[in-house]
Amino acid sequence: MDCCTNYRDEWALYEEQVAAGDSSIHAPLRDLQMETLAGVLRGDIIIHMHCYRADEMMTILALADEFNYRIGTFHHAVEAYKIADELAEQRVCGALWADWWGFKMEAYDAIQENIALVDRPQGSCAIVHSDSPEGIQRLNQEAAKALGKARRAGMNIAPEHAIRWITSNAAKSLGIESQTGSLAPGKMADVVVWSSDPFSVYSKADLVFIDGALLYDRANPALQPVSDFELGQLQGVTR
Amino acid sequence: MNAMKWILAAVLMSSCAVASANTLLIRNAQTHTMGAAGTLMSADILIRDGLIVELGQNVQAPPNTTELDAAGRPVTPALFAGITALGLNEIDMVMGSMDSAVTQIGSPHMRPEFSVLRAYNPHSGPIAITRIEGFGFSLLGAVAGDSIMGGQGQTVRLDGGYESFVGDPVLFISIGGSASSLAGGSRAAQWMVLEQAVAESRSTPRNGDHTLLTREGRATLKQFQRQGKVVFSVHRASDILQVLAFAKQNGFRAIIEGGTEAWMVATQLAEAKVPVLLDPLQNLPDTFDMLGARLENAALLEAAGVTISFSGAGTHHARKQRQLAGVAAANGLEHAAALAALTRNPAEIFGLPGGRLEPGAPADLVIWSGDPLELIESADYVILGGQLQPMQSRQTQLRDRYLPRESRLPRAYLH
Repeated sequence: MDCCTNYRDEWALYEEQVAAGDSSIHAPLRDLQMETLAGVLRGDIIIHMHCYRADEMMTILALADEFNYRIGTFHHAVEAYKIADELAEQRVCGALWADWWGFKMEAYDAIQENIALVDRPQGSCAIVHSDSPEGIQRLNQEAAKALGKARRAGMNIAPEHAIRWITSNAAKSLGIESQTGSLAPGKMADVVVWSSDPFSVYSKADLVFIDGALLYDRANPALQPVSDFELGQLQGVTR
Repeated sequence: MNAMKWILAAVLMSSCAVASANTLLIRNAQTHTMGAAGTLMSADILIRDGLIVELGQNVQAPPNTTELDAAGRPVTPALFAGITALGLNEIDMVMGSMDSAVTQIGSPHMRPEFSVLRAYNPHSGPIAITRIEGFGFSLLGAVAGDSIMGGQGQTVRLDGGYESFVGDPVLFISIGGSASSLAGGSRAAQWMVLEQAVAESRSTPRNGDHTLLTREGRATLKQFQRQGKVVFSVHRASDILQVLAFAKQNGFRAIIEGGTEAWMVATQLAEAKVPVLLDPLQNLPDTFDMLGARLENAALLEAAGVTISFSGAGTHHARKQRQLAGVAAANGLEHAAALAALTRNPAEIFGLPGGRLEPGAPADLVIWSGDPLELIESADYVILGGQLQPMQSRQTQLRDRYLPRESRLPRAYLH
């Protein structure tokens, strides 16, 4: 990390001197790799980090503390429930599966209450994620699983709170919570109209507005996009 | 404690054990019988010696019966977990903990005689994790490591027994694009190789013949040609039709697993009475074998008269089967048909008793907190062979270790 703190500091000094009117100074050599890391150290770039185990997340948090940068979100983090308080204290989000486990040793200690336990402390930021082209289509169902298992464990989480796991907490994790992720005056009009309770397996997105524009209507095929790949496939087959 | 109290306690404990082991009465259950009786809004279910003996209104409890009030909650037969490696695979990617494949065994490499049953371990972690979610049986799959001929599996009841195998032996064969590399580099070569294997099974090869099968393999494949059940893992419509013709020609009873494009040949499947185990979450064209992927696959097959069940969530995520059924129900499949696809249909397909709640059937059933297809609901009680199963797994114990907000000692002392 020393190399990137040096790089950041050299550039900061350069920009300071340029701003002060010193035209004789030469710019430091530009290094794209260092520039990214310097952006992290300055807090301009949010870190999204792949990490499963609690001990490894704790090590990373210690490293971040030593070099004075922030972790934004741990992804997968199947053992995040073991360090839920530490994550909340450091304002670190967890982007978590509802029920995935067992596909490798790192995912051995997964529990279905991970999301609810990460959500529990004050200041937490729990996110339901998918990491899959199947799961992302039904993230509301993934949230329903997490909500159901939380209730089973005696944690009575209101649905209006749980919906944050797939809306405002995700926006916070991406640093765009001032623009989207909740319904409030001044926010972009990114809105879903559900056919019924979004936590029901039978529920469907009826209407989807992106920035105020209706871009999906379940009742209108003209407002249902088809990818280039899917276009024209299976000639002769009637759907 | 004096001696008399010890004796009394022992007598009480043993009598309780006998009563709970033998006779259980579930009262006031919204009973999805999956049989001729349909759904009974409030029924009592009397269970003795592992079987349902009576089902109806105001059932009388014999002496020493344990009673359980379902309080109007839904009761279904224990669910089918799909084709899995439950009890065979502990953790993916951990060598030595995976026992569902035969691979790199040398020549001949096609081994229909391979059976996964002797590797089955009822204490394997994924079993309890799956069972407490309401699942009572699964078809153990045999995987082709380097052959399209996977080998044999059988249905297992998830009751913790070492030998809880039921129903018919099943042979597994893979067909299609993803299996091309396992037999001659194309699906055309797959059929050539399969035809060769069938021909070989019917004659004794001469010395020096290049053979696909061992002597034991020939006997096995011949046996399955007498209406043995063969699960063909296949997705593309044209490949499914080839499977139907191949199975009919050679005396196999085909079962389609996958069947992403099965809806396109639903009529032919219904005519051939070939069931389909599909994954209703498979609605994307992941491969060129799956261009016809769509959410209504289950509903269209059912409407055409095809017997359907579900598979595709794998071993560790077998509990997702409820979601597979729920998504099918959300896309045109009747609720009762979705439940049948998790219970009665797989029992019928694989030739085992159960899958229905009726007198004489095995007492494998689940009391649910609500609609079993809703993911927010859970199994409240799981009963297999008339026994209430402990609602505990390694995962619930990890949960309970970290659920308390504070711990005076490190969490390793909470157990």
